[in-house]
Amino acid sequence: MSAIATPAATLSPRHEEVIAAAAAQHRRAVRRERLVIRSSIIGIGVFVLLFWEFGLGYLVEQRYVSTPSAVLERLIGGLQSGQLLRDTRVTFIEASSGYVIGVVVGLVGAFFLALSRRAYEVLEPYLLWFYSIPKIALAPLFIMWFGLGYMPKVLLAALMVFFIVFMNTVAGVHSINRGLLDVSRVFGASKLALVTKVMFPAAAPAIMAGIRITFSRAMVGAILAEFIASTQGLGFMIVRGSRQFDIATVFAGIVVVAALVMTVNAFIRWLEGKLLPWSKQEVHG
Amino acid sequence: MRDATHITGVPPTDLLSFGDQVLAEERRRFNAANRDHRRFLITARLGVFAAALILWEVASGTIIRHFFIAAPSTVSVALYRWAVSGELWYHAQFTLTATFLGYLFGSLAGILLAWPLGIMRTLYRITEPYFLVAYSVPAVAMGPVFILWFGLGMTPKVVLASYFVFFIVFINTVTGFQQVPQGLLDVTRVMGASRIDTLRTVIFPNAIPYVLAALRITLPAAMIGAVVGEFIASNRGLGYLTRAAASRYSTAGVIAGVLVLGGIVLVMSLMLRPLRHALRWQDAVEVKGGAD
Repeated sequence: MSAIATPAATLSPRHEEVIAAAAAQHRRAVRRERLVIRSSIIGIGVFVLLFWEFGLGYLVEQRYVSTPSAVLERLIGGLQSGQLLRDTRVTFIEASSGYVIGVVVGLVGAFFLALSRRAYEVLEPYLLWFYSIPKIALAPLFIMWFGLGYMPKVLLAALMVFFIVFMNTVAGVHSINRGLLDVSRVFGASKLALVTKVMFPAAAPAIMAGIRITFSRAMVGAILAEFIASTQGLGFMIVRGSRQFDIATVFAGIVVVAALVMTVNAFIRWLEGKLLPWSKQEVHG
Repeated sequence: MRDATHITGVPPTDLLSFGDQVLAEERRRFNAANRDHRRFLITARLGVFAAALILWEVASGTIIRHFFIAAPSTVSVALYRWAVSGELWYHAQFTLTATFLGYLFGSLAGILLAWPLGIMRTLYRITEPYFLVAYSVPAVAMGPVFILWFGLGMTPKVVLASYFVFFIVFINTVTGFQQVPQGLLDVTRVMGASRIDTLRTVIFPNAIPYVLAALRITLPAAMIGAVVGEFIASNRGLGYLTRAAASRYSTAGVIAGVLVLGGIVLVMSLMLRPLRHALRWQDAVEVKGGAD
């Protein structure tokens, strides 16, 4: 492939033949390696599933680990009765509304704080305190306040998302090249123009990173609140299965949760590619 | 040197001491401004704290019902009672034990598994999709599974805490192994380094900052894992204490529990500060993950 660097005019037909043969060989090798890796990936998956289905029962008691077929059965049964879709919808509504609320409030809060460097300096230690408090510890409090319905789940999900978006945005704003700010100020930019035209565009990558990775946290908030007290949703399905010693249902619930998280993450990434095609698609937490 | 008296108004012989004076004056002004700023910050911070506390105390019971936000005085009383009766230490010891054991096992497992996978490129490419799938399962969701497997005692909390820690340490360590500058690898190869030499002198040192960064952020994660386990099912530990207060509708107890948990996490982050200091010669590495 690197032979392209040589001017084509100096190549004799013989040279070209050799180069073409080498390139073809390289392509074959790459294709063969990819094939080996793909088939190994599938092979491992199939082996694990088969072992889980037929072999694991001999090592540990079957009722502790269930079987893939039993999990599949639960999934199909849940789909047929409609219960699985209802639970998924409840959890999805909780997590996604919490996610949206958390993102919006986080951005707006950071926007106001970015207006005043002084206010930020004063509030910084408190923000770090709040940031370091494990948000999930607030779950019992929210449930006590708002009961068993949607409210505590949405709030917990929103809180989990809020701090990440807020802190990422503030960090992004503060990492701005001071030269940009000085130049705009010299040109007479108002405080508002400074925030909307310089600070936010410059902080956009950090903001997007915060937005991109936080749906799974919203999901954690919703599910944890459902674990503690609820009457519906995927978290309820999982914890009820666990109390009834029905591990197949527990795994079925976890499979749906993982599928939901992956689908929404893929969707967010796709949306970002559409809306902000120039932004870097890196994931950091 | 040309005479600068017409500019400075000072004869050239005194020019040096004049410069010193200007510098000293400038330094004094700078220090004073700095001191003023620091004094302002301290007063403002204390002011905000006092205002919030007073507002909270006054609002609770008048604007907001006691049930929603217990007054700071009530919360302190609840905390004091816990401390005096020994309940606090009794429950904290379980949570802390589960946290430290989980931290230990989780980070050990993460590093030990990341080692071969970080070095063997093909093995990593084969197993990567499975790690990605496992990573996208919220760790919290594994709580009921571990409780079902290991019962109500300490074991499921330790396992859950390890699980929280494991993925963060694993992913960061693998990244550390893999993100070695190609130039360094090429140079060591040209100089005739064996595979072992390269590992010892280039790849391991490169991974260390990533591992330490992950170790720094995962101690709080371990505690969150332990507390989540206690929330779901347990009869002791700080998570249980908080949840029990909630089921008695004791707002003060719940807030006290949250404060204790937050305080412990804060102390942990302070304890791990030296880790960051130890790495000050290194460029900061991007840390992936984090759970709370």
